[in-house]
Amino acid sequence: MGESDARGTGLTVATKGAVLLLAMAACSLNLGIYPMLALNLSSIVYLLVAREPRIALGMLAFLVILGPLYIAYTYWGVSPIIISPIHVFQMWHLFPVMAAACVIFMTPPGMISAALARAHCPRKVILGTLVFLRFFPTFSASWRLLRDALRKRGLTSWRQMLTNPLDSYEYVMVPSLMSLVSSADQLSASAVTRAAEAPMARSSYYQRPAGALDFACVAVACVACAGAVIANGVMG
Amino acid sequence: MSEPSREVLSLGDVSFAYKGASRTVDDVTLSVAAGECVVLCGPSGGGKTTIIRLVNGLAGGYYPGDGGGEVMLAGHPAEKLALWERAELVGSVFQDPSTQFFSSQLAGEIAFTCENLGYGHDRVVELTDAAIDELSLGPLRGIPNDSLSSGQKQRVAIASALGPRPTLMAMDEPSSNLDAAAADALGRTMRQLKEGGMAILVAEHRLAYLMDVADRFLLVRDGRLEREVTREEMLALHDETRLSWGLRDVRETVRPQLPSPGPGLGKDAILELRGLGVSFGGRQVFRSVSLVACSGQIVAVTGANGVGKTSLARVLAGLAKPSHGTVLVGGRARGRRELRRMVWYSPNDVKAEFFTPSVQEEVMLLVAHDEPHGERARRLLRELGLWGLRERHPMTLSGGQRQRLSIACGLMSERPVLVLDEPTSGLDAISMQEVSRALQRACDEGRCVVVATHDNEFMRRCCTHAHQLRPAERGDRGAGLGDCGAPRRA
Repeated sequence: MGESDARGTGLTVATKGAVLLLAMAACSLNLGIYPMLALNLSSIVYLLVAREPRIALGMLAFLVILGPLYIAYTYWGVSPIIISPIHVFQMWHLFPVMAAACVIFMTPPGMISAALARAHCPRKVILGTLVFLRFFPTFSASWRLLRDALRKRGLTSWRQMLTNPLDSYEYVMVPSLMSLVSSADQLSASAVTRAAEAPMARSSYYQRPAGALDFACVAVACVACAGAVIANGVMG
Repeated sequence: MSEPSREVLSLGDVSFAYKGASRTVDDVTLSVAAGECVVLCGPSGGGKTTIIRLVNGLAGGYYPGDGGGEVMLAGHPAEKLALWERAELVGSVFQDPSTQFFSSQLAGEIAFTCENLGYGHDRVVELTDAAIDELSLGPLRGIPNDSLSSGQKQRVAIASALGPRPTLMAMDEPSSNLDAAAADALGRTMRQLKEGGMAILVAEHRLAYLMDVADRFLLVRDGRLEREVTREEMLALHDETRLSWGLRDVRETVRPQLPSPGPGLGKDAILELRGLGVSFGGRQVFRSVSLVACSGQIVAVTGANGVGKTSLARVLAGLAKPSHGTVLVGGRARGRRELRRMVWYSPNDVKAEFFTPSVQEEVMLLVAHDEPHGERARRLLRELGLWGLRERHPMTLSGGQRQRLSIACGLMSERPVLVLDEPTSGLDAISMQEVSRALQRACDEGRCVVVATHDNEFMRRCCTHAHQLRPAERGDRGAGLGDCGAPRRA
């Protein structure tokens, strides 16, 4: 049911959550360069399994830049001028977490709310999650409108920003906040007219049991994380 | 819930005032039966939206205020129903469907109310799929809701309201973002729902697309229900009476035959487009648009939803980059930075347009604070019906009032070219006339106005030329050479 509604339906939300938790656990152990490289490359494979080829390609390109930077910093002490070594270190060690989070973030909201409903999460948590997920497209649309309005009135010019920094700050912040408040108000009104306050347990259109791919994915993720940790101990 | 009675909705002597405001609705009595469509019409700010909110429970529930009288829904006193119980009886559709979406997926969005009501999985699926089939939305299942056209989004919003099979549909200006074809399609959908026994209460400015659906029209003005008009009486209404009631044309206005602003050079040419095209990624939206707009002309750019009218307007205003072609202002090719200084752009969605705490300060934002400019601002605000609102914060204005304020800012800006994107969507007849007069005055001052619109009534009223934008597949080499003769109004 609803299989063709959107992408990201290859794995269940529970599987994606489990992979994210495993990635977080493994990355918190300060792994060496080779175990971490193996985990980072495994993350690219995971993105492909989760049917996110475009993100996989982007993350691979990012890894191609990040890897040499990290090696140069670790082995030869080269620190880039623009990016601080701390950030390079953080990004290298959080790469699998970023990939797993991206997969969850790209999951259709309906699938996430269905998973939360099955996990008997309180209604407020489910609705809060849905509103949180709507925030990004809503804010990006509002930001595009605001950017156009600022540019056409010449309020983004360097002269304007340098001579009237407080006014410039106000010109950006006030309409942004007003626009967000207005969007939140309309979304809340919509929620009220659509029984968001109903006291009964929330059900779901989507109902997708875990399949062989899900079990295989979690098993492979366990093996990869455990292998990286063990290899780190052996090599260390 | 028990079986609904024949009379699905009744309001008896209902009054309402929002908290801290004067009375918006005063002693309104009306009823809507199953299979009946009743239209609330009248000038902006008359109380139509509040009546819709009283029906779906937002007024007094979500928006606090004091009220009196009795609202009955399917035989139940509404005050005894919780808001979520009302959701089962009343489906609500708002002006801008994209602001009411909770999900990026079609089915997830349509199922939302049923899921909240805790229906079993099988019933949720059955109702959701039935709503999708009823509105023929199946082909859109794989497309994210945010990527749909305005007309498609509005159909998704109606399907969402239809999910739990309510007995009444309460709609607030559902056609405000739709072109003529999409509005007609909406009218057909409403007719289909009505024939299925659903009661429909709709607040609307555009009436032509409702003439085959509506049974009765209720004129709402100053919070009161002034009169009831049948379809036949509405069709027989004199134009003067209709306009005095603030109503748009009840007949489908035929698009006026206006000359094309063809490519060529004239002595008064202000704006010229040479072979302009826009593409997103690999997709060509339109190409080879060539035209000349002269001083004193109001050029309408028409075309179906999604054909690229807004993209063209943004390119003219220097806010987007064309894939090919040139924009000339005052006879010289201009870069985007120059265009932003010489062309004023009022978008259709004006919610992020305003930066100051009052209407008066907003129109004075970009000009010197001297007496001539102050006088000009006062005149413009009066012309556009905003003088009484000059102390208000722009964000507290209604959608139509904000649209007029954006146009007022453009007229104050003293830029030679004004580009307006759907400036009359959501405007009543009186406001539309005010906007038309203000644009004509701008033209008389020697400016040139380009309007992306699908409002034939507005075009007939003030546009002098028209350019039909076509999708790139069919190509558009532009019309033949033209010149800048005297402006001709339809």
